[in-house]
Amino acid sequence: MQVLIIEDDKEIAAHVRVGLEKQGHNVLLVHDGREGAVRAKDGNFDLIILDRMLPSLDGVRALAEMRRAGVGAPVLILTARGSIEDRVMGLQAGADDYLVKPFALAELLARVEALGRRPRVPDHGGISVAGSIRLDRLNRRVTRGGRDIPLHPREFQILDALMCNVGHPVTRTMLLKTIWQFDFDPGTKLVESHLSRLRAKLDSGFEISAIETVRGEGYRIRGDA
Amino acid sequence: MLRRSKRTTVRIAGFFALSFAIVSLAVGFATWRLTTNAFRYTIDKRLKDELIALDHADEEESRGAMIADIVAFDQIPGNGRYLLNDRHGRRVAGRVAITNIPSTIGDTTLITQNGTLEPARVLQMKLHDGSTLAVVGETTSMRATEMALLSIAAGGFGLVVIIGVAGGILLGRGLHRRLSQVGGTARAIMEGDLTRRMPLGPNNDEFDQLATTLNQMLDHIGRLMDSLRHVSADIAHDLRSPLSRLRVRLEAALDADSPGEQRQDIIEALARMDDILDLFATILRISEVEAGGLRRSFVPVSLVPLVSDVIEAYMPVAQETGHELEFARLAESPTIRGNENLIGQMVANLIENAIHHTPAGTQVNIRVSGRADGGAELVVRDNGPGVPADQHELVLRRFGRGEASRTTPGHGLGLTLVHSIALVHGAKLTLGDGAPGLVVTILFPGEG
Repeated sequence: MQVLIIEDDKEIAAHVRVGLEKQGHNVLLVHDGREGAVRAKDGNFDLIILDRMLPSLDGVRALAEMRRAGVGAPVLILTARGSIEDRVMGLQAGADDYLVKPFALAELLARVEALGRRPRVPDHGGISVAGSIRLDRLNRRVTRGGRDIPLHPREFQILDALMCNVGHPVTRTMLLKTIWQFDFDPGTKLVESHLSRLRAKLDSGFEISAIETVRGEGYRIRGDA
Repeated sequence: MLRRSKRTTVRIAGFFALSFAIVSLAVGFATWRLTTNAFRYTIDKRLKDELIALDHADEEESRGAMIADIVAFDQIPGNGRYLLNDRHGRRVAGRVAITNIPSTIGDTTLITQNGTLEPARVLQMKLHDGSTLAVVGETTSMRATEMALLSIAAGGFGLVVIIGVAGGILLGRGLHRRLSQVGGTARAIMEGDLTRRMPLGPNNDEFDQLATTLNQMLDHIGRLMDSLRHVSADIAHDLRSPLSRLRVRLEAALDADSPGEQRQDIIEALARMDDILDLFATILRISEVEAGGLRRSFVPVSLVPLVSDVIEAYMPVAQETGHELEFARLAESPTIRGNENLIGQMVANLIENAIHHTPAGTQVNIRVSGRADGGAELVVRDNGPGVPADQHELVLRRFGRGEASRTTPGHGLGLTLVHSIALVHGAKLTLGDGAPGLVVTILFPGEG
């Protein structure tokens, strides 16, 4: 992907760029709000990572300007301002995701993948396939190796989220946000518990575990299970 | 400060004195005027009646009869009352002596037998043959009464002015005294004596009520400052442990024997780091909630589906820890104004709290019901060890932990956040004894 980073904190910017480049993305780094808006309008980026507190032009205003100019790329706001009001304001200005500093690089990378892939999620009649697993969104059915696997609605949602990102990790935070709409971190191992139930149902009778836990990153559906 | 309030005193005194003076002047003048008019009217009427009677005698009987009446009256000791002049102006009957005769009824001066001059009233009538008949009424006593009235009025006026000024001055002084008391106490507090309170008088008047309210405010500020001191100390204290664990991990990473071990240590260190950041996030969220600005974005929230979702999210966790999670709901879902995310977090915290602080096998019941005033009630009850009543306030405070939980992991802010979220929604949170167990009740108010 072509990624534009607009961030004035040089250390964090460099860190993020290195992480993205390792994943095979092309990164353009800009430290100034006004310049960032210009580049966004001229260039053709697949994803924009934007900080809110920027010199010369505030992040939210830059975003509004970009959107007005027709920049349709997904935007992830990366900021130290984490209050509920800030989050709402950012999303209303046109951002697609909001990540508060300090953040885990793995979290950022996972979200970048998810955002970047969004417009291109294949939806072959509402059916996703990963290895021996087949998920039918229209009929709400999951089969593995042809065998029907009855799931709770939540479990179905979790599997659906993983299937949309086959081969890529989905972080706990992402699951909490999309499936339960929790914007806080529950202290207990809430996501883990649901995942272990899901796993138990998916894996019973099969040798290979369909869902992998990537330490420090999240959960991933294997494309070959 | 002093000069300005002195001027207020003068202004108050002046205002009162002036109002009283004007009013008493107006009243006095009106009374005097009405009285003198009444007197005059009475006398004038009497004079008229007498003239008519005499004229009647003259017409019905004869001139001689009238003259006889006059003469008869003149026998009575006194200054005489009547004067009959012929058409040439020569006196025919009557012995009264006056200085002038106005053409209509009017004042004149009576010359008494002793030669003194006294005020009088005279009315003259022309008879049919051209003679003129005048009747005189003495007005001395009337005048005396009028003067007495005037003196009383003047005296009263003067008294009123004095009382007004004196009262105004006293009032002003009293105000000044009470105000400077308040000012003095406030200055002492600002200079550092934080235990000072406004003095109260014995009367429980408006000043005392103001002083009481100010004292309550000072108590509140005192509590806030204590809490702030506590919190700063508590935060520092509570951060020390996770921070030192973090440091230990990183040092271990430095000394690790193998890259694998090192990687492990660093992963652990990151996990500790996340704990600390989570603590910060909670502290910040509590502050944000307490600031109250979120009220502006409140929307109607249907409680049953929301609570249901949260409970369902925790079902697997409860199963793993051996807790029984039960939801009792009524058919109608009450709706209240609020922030869905915050309420969800509140319920999650309560459930987590119950799971965390009770042993396996404990039952946790959650109930949502509507109230008559349109509000709602949320009750989270467990049958675990509970919290002793004397620790109820403690666990709601920032970092407040009950004795039993001092050593368990967690930061003691969970219930604090629950409390803040309840408060920003205008809801009342109470802790009760489930006998056994803890009962947390949150009462949301109805609209209006």
